[in-house]
Amino acid sequence: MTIKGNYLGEFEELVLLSVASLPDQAYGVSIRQYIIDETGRNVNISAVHEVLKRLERKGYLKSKMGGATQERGGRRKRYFLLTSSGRKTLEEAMKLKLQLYKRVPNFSLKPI
Amino acid sequence: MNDQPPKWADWFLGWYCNPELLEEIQGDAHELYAERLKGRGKPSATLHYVWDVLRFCRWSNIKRTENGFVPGSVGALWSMNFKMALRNANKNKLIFMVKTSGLAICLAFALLLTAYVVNELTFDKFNINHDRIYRITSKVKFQNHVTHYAITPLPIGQALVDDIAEIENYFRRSNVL
Repeated sequence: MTIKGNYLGEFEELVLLSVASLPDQAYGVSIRQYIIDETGRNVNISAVHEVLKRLERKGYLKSKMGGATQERGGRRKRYFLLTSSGRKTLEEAMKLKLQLYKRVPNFSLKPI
Repeated sequence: MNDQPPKWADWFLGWYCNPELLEEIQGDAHELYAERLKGRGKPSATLHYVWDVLRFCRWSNIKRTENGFVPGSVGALWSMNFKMALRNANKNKLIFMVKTSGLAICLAFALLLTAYVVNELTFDKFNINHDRIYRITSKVKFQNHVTHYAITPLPIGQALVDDIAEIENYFRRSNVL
């Protein structure tokens, strides 16, 4: 599979940040719920899965299957973890954006 | 009360989905279903479940191999053949040119020949009496020299109809309107 550069799309960045802020709890449903709660967007579960797969292929995430539990019919969950490369990419994305935001005249960087 | 999502949707998901991805996808879909069942009731949960199953139906979930061998016209073997052909063409430019133009001439000739033969074999076939239509040409002998013409004098039509019983009728045909 070819990878079109190492850039992060907007939704990719959102999912990556969600995985980073849900340590040991990041799987499809919880990531989706987190994004819905934080952004108020209506996100479909398949979109989350798609982006998770893509991020794993780019090497920003790694995943492992959890243990079988009683819930969801004994089906295991796939838990995602941020890799060091993913952390670096997130930091670089934020740095670049801050650098650009700071050049905008009369632009407040203070939190609301 | 039955708290499982509709069987047919589940079957459809299991049918198209890559078996390696099925467990996590189905698990997430079932978990969302159970959540909605509690929150919004069965009809809404069923509707959302079906929608999720349809949204999961995309190529990356259907295809069975990840970075594996892909057969057919998109596979690595096929693209390698193309690459080798291009490299060889680049290496032996003159031979490639001769071969390609030879093939092009052959194909062009075969097509032209086909067009000619098809034209000959279907000439005037639109007419139900096509086997009884003839074209009259002229053979002119002048000073020991014979020349064939595809044209005839105009009065010959009526004269032939008048004199020969087997000829029923005649018409004039001209390329120039």
